[in-house]
Amino acid sequence: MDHPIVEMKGVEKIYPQGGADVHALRGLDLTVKKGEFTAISGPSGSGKTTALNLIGALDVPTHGSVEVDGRNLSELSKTEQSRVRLERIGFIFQAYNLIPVLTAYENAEFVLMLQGVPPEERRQKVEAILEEVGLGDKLDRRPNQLSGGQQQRVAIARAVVSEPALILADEPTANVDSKTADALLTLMQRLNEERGVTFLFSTHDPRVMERAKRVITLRDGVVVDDERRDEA
Amino acid sequence: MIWKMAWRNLWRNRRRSVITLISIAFGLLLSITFTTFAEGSYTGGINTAAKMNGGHVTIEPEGYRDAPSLKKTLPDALTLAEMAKTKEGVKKVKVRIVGQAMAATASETVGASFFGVDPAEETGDLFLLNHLVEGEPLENTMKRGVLIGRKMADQLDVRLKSKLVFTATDKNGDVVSGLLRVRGIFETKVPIVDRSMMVVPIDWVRNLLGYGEREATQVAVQIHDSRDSDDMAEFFSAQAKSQGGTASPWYKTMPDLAGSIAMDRSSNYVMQIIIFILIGAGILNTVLMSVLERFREFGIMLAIGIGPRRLWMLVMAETLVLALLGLISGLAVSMPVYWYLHTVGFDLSATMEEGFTMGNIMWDPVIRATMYSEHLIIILGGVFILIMLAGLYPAYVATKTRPLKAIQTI
Repeated sequence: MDHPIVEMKGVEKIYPQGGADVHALRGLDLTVKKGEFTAISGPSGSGKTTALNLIGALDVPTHGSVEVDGRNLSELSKTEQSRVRLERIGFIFQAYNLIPVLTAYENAEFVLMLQGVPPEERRQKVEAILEEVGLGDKLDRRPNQLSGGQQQRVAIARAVVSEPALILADEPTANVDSKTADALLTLMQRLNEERGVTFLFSTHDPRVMERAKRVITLRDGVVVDDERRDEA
Repeated sequence: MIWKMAWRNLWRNRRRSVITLISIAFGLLLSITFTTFAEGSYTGGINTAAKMNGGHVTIEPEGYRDAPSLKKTLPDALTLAEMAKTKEGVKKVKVRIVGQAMAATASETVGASFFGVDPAEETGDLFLLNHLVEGEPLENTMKRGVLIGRKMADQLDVRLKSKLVFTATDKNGDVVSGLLRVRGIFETKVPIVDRSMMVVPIDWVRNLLGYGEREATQVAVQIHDSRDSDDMAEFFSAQAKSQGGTASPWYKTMPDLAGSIAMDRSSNYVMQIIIFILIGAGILNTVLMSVLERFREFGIMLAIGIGPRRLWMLVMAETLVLALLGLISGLAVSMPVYWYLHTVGFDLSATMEEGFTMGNIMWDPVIRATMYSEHLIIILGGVFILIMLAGLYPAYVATKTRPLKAIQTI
């Protein structure tokens, strides 16, 4: 349970903006261990999205190092970073971001296909995960035929199906109503507890923070609070 | 799944894809129609010229073409002709004596080119015989008849059954003369033909010129496919060598016609290039728009790990599907049009003056499209390659998508 999935050491991220540089992160140190259900919170501009971008190999730090599952992302080529995203990280976006021409089944299958998983194994995994997220009867629906909550369930299934080391979720409940948000959080919590999937959220949502086992609070690019509720 | 996505992406903007397919189909229709129509007219012109002159392949004595002379002959032209008739791909073979002569009446004299022919062999072939407006074809190879053009008849002031004196230089260089009676008058509307050509019986002129009974100046070989002229000429040159003969393809015996066709073909190529560019621009627009519209989507795909190579393949797969659909649509539209133009033809007589010539050859006003497989392959292959090339830039643009910028936040 205590194997570090994410390890950020002295991470700085500076965005040049006109004449004045913007320091999004100022020497951030952060460790996330396997099986955690962690939320990063903080006001807008605190650096939580930047932190998730760096952990997701979508951006590189100006200084410091980011390791995901033991691999230093700064030392990887773009292709290798792409490989890390494919094999080690699952993404859940605020706006669902499903591929519109693919059905729920195909969206979930897509990552497995990219990983080269054999068709039969893909079928078993995809059917199982969609059943688990409560969409077993909507396999053939395209995103525009699903509600927001259902789309986010597909997004969760897509992120989880390949059993990545880490799932990064950016405001996953921001675009759904309270009831759906609760259902989604329950789903993710269950996946965390039953499958041991590591979740790292960026959120403002108090409901997410309530359910998180650990809440890291950022302000001005540094950790100002790190509350663990493992035994809660 | 890449192909499934490519297919579905193509139909996301149905109207744009349909318009693009229509533009490809229309471009192909233009390209195929222009090419087959032009090739049909060239083939028709070459075949007409072959009938009118010395065939697609002309077997003559060595040096005859540079310095025509009735002293230069093929001693056993009949054997060459019999051999040629057995060659695969040969349509018809004519033995002729072709040369220069004077035609004279009591008051007028004109210089003329003459064809000494076997009327039984030439029926329907020698172009002049199809344009008889008065009288009848020659009776046989010996009877003293002559067919002359309308203008020559007017110049000599002769009419049917009038006598004229035929004077030429024989095989030994002596001037010889014979009396002929006008049996028919032709009118092709080609001034040079109607003014200076005449047709005489071959055996009669053979006797007059002192030739042996198997001797002639020309073996005219018509073949089924004019594109085989080079191979045929090479073959017949080898066969005729033993009697001092050589064979030439039509474009060497009729350089004016060959030049006219080459020039026309060049302008056709320019037209094809313009059509191709228009098709390419349409495709580039379609695929590029489709890529730029999906900037965010590509960002998501890259974020979840698709990798630039696979993304490139996805865009190229969409381009390939578009290309294949475009080619199928183009063929579906073009083939019925081609079939009509091939079987019924297009009658240009309303716009083409009678006796229209190109390269000094009279052309049939009804032009029938002719498709050669190599042209179809070049057009389809060219359009296909062009479409795929047009897809390269959008595919490159897709791979350069920065996922972070595209999705803004993860």
